[in-house]
Formats: sequence, C-alpha cells, structure tokens
Amino acid sequence: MSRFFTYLFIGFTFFWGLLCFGDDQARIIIIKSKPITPYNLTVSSFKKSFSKKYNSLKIEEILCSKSVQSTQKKLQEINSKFHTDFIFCVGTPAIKVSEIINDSIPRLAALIFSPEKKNYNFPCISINPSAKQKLAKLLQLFPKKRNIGFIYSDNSSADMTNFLTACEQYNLNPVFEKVSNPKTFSEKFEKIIGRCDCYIMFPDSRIYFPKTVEFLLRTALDKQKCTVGLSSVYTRAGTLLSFECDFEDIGKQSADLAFNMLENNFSSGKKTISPRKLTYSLNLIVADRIGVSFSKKIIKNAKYVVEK
Amino acid sequence: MKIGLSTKITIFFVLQTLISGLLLGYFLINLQKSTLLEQFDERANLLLDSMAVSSEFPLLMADKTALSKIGNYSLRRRDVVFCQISDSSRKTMFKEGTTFEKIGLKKYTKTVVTKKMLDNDAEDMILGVGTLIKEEIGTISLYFSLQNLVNEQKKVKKTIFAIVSCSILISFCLIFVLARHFVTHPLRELIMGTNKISQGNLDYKVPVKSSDEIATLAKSFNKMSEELKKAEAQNKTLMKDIESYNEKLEKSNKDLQNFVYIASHDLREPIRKISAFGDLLSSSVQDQLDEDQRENLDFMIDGSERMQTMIEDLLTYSRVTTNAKPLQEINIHEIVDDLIKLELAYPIEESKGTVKILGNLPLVKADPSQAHQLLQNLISNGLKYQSSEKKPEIIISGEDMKNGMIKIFIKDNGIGIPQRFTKEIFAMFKRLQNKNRFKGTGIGLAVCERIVSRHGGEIGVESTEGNGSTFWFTLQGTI
Repeated sequence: MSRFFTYLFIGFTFFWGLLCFGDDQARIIIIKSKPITPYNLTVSSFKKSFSKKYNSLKIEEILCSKSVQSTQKKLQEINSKFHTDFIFCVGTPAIKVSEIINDSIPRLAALIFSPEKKNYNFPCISINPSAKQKLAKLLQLFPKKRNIGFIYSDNSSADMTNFLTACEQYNLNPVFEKVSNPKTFSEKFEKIIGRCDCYIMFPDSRIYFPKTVEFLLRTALDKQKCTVGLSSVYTRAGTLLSFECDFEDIGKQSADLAFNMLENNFSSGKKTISPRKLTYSLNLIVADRIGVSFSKKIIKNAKYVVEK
Repeated sequence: MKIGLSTKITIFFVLQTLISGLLLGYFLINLQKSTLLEQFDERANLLLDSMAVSSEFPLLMADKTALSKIGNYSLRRRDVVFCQISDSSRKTMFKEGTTFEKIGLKKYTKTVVTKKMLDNDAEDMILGVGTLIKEEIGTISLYFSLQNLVNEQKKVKKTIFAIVSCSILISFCLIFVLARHFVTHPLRELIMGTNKISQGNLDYKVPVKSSDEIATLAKSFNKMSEELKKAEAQNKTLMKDIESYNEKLEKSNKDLQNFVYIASHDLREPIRKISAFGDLLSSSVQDQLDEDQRENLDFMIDGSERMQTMIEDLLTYSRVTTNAKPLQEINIHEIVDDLIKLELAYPIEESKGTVKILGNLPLVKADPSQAHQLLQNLISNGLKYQSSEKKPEIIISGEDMKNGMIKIFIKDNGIGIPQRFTKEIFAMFKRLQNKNRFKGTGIGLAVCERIVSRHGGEIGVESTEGNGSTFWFTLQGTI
C-alpha cells in the first residue's frame, strides 16, 4: 500500500513537473496603431518569431480606430475574456490605447519616435536609428564626406545634440543652423548647403513640410549635394539616400524582448531600445544627377533602390 | 402700289426669318457673352491658381523678391491691371498696378494655402503617412480690365449680326425664287386660263404640274371650264328658243295692237251712226212712243254713247304705243295752264272747283301730246271723283328727285281710294265706283300707267278713303 502511494506520488510529481516546465502557453494582445506596411511587417514578424518560442500561443490583435475611447473599450472587453499575459503596442497611438489596462500586465512598445522624451514605464523600441548608427553607416557609404549639414528647431534640438556627439566621435565636421521661425528655413538652408558635403534631415515637422522638403531637394540637386532623408518615402521623393530601421527585425527584436520579459520577469521599467539593424534606400536617379556613384555591393545591400 | 403674291410671301417669310434671326441672334449673343465671361473667369482662375502655386513657398519664406517677380509677371499678362499679394496677417508683400479703368474692373481673389504636418507627428513623418493639414498663408488679389472682354463681345455681336443679315438675304432670294416657281407661276397660269375663258376660249386647259393645293385648284378650274362649255352649249339652245318665242310674242303683240286699233277704229263709225240716228229717231218719233218705248230708246242711245266713249278710250290707249312721238323738252306748267283754259275749263266751272299750281313746275322730257293726256286724265279724275258737299280743289306740284327724274304730284280733296286698291286702280277697266254715280270706262288710269311706263317712269297714288288722294308720276328731267 505504501508502495502504491509512493508510485502515485512520484507519478503526480512527474506530471506536475511536466505541466509546470512545459507551460509554454502565452496570451498576447497586439495593439496596432495603423494598418500600414511597416506596422504590418513588424507585427507579422513578431508573431512568427514568438510562435517559435511557445507551443501554445494565443494572440488577439486590435487595430486602433480614430476614437481612442472606443478602442480602449474594445481592449477592455477582450482582456476581460482573454486574461492577457502581455501587451505589445506598435506605434504611439497604441500605447495611448493600452493605458486603460492595469500596469501590472507587462507590455512592450515598438516603432516609437524618441521614447526617451516620453515618460513610459515600459520598454520601447525606437523607430529612428540612433545618430551614431546613421553616421557610421554614412561613413561606410561616403568615407570622404566630412562636412555634415543639419538644420534644427526647438523640436529637434535633442536629435541635434545626439548628432553633434556622434560627429565628435567620428571626427566629422557638423555644419548646422537653428531655425526659430520656419520662414527663415530657405535662408538658413542656402547658408549651410554650400558649406556641407552631406545634409541630414531630422524628423521635425516644424521645419519639414511638403514645400520646404521640395525646396530642400531642388536646392540640393542644383548644388549637387547629398541629402539623407528620414525613410524610403523620402528616397522616392528625391533624397539621395535614407536610413531607416528594419521593420521585420524590429518584430523579431520585440519577440525576443517579450519572451525575456515573460520568462525571466524582465523588469518592466523605463528603457529605450534602439533598433538592432539599420537599412538604407538609394535613389540612383539623384545619384546620377549629382555625380555620385555607388558600388554594386552597396546597391545590392540597399533595402530599396530607385532605379535609373 | 401693286404688290405681287410672291413679294407678299417673301415679305412674310423674310419678316419671320428676321424675327427668328433676331431671337436667335439675341440667344447666341447672350450665350457667347456668358461663354466669354466663363472663359474670362477660367483664364483668371488659372492664372490665380498658377500664382498661388508659385507664391506658396515665397509666402512661406516671406520672400518679397520672389513675390515681386510673380506679381510683375501677372501684370504682364493681358487684362491684369492690378496685383496684390498679402501674407496670412494681411501684410502686403507686393502691390502694383492701377485700380482705375473706364470700362470696368473685375476682382479675383485666391487664398494661398500650404500643407503641413501636425506638430509632434515625427513618427508619421518617418513612415510617410502623416495627415497633412491645410494652412492659409496668404492672399492674392488680381484686378482684371474688362476692356478686352467688351471688345470681344462687340466682335461676336458683329459676327452674329453679319450671319443673321446674310441668312436673311439668302432666305429672301431663295424664298422669292421658290415662291415665284411654286406659287406665282402656277397662279399666273390660272389667271391666264381665266382670261382665256372670259374671252370665250373654253377649250383652254390649265397645265397641272404638281399635286399641291394649286394643282387641285387648276384641276377644279379645268373641270369648271368643261362645265361652262356644257352650260354654254345649253344656253345657246335656250337662247335660240327664247329668240323664237320673242319673235312670236312680238308678232302676237303687234297683231293684237293692230286688232285693237282696227277694231276700235272700225267700230267707231257704226257706233257713231247708231248714236246719231238714235238721236234723230228719238226726236222724230218722240210723240208717238209711249213711256216704255221712249225709255228703251234712251237706253239704246245711252249704250251707244258709252260704247263710243269706250272705243275712244281704247283708241287712246292703243295710240300710246302706235302714235308715239319722240321725247322733247316740255313745260308741265304750260300744259296745265292750257288744260285749265281749254279742255278742263268746262268741268272746272261745272264742278266749281279750283286747280292750283304750287311754285314753278320743272321742265321734263316727254311726248307733248301724251303728257297732255296724262295730266288731263289725272286732273279730270280729281274733279270727277268728288262728294257733292265739297268743291274740288286740285293742287299740282313738282319735285326734283336728284336722280335725273322729276316727280309731279296731283293732290285732290276727293272721295279718296281705299288703301287696298291703290295698285289695282291702274289696271284696264278697273272701276271702284258705281258707274251710275261716276261715269267712266275704267281705261283712263290704265292709259296714264301706259304713258308713264313708255317714258321710263313710275306712277302711284297715296290716299285715305274720304280724305282725298295724291297721284304722282315721274318723268325724265331735262338736265
């Protein structure tokens, strides 16, 4: 009889252990800000990577509507039935929606612009590669270009600071002007464009809007200067090249982070994480106009190329 | 002035064309006016749009030099006389030109807008999906002179006027030719046919060349001429018959008149003998006859005397046509005077009556003896048919009827004639009174009627029984 109980105990313990150690179940809610390709790529990459880590994965995906309240209501409803273990926010609007859910549920955000400026108490993967990453890549592509031009406003002063630091690191010569009034943009731009080899744009909506971008591109083309845009959208519009993060890799990066957070009780404190991988896009038409040539390898490695 | 049918039709259609042309012209001018105005607006708005695009960046950058170039470029454009570009705070960035124009000005304004992203939307900026918002950054005002528009409208008016005038001229010629060919010419052929038929050519046929109303009329006309031809043939036959009857009638009349004349003339002699010898017999055997025999003899003598009078009267009646003399100018006044003095002197005196002539009786054209007879009969009737209580009063007067005829009135104060007999009394042997009271044959007034008829006049009487009668007759005047 005692033997029977001994076996029973061993068997129970074994199955319990199996149940505990094999608890590779996860319930995740993904909140997507917009139904756009970069977000879609990140989300699908995240799901794909995450599913490899768990045998049983339950994912609920919510797309933010125009009304934050209605999306929050929908999120609450889903969460009350679903009892989520983790929330993954893609884009800033998704973070705003997720605020309705208790802070005790761990969360991660990706594709957020300058998260360090905001007061989020969970990790965020930035959408913009760091100044250091960008300049390093720039030097790879144009080793001879030493004078780097910038125009910034109060909105982008942090970026400017980052770039100045990075320039110092890479021994580059920054040429920059501050624009207090957008009306002085053309004047300032014309002032610096002659003195720089390459001009890098900041994501600053106070300075850059369709007309100023048009002016910038036209003037740079006239003066045969390199311009670095914010994403492949700008490369298509007429910048020579643009640096941007790899959205699929951000999905994978997010999946890895999420797994760590769930498995190792990763601290959900404030943390800004830069994208791991930097990609670039090229506009060969512009390159041809300004007399710049790229090696086949550079062209091949480009994520997107505007062909001649 | 004689206006032909083709001219009338032409005038009618030309008027119609003119009215339609004017209406069409008015419509076209208005249409063209609105089209020109639309084109003007379109040109102006196009210029404004292009200026707005060009001045978007200069306005954003407050670039007065660039704005000045844009403004001056617009002023070089036709019709633009004034240009003003202001920024969003209504501050004038460019102002040039004049706002005075004789003909008039039209102002066009365009707000210049630019597209911007929302602040702090850097994420969307990187992704290239941000929502762009429109922001007003300035205003462009252009004043356009209407001079060229007015000139163009004048040109259009002239062109339309020329087109309408030409169309009226062409339609005039066309309608005139067509009206002549299709209306006037067939009608002329009809008129020619009518003339030929009126000239007696009933064999003429109007040519029928079409199937319209005029052709139907021509067919009817030809049918009518055929009917006329038939009717003429019938008329000829009838005329022959009438002529034959007339000849017979004239012969019969002549025979009758001869018979009356011969009968009355030849009967007069034996009757006169009966009367004369009756008187002789009466005076020679008066003492030998008893009362009845004497009365019978008196009846015989009286009968022969009345027979004699009747024959005389019949002879007078027949002489109206047989002894007719040519008409000549006569004085009725003189005839009446002669009658009063001679033929009617005894009856007037016997009846103690009076015969008066009112005024001067006009001259007439008549057979003197028959006029004499006419007046004598009428005056003697007035003296004869009188009540015993009254003295006869005869008044003769005359009146110029203004139609070339003279009307003579013989008014008496006699017994009068009942209204119903005023026409019958002119018939032969018609007597209204007992022959024992008023002697007579009933031929006198018939003679009067025959005389007046022969002179182309009329005779009549107006009378009230018991209040006298007024006989009248008309004869030709001398003028």
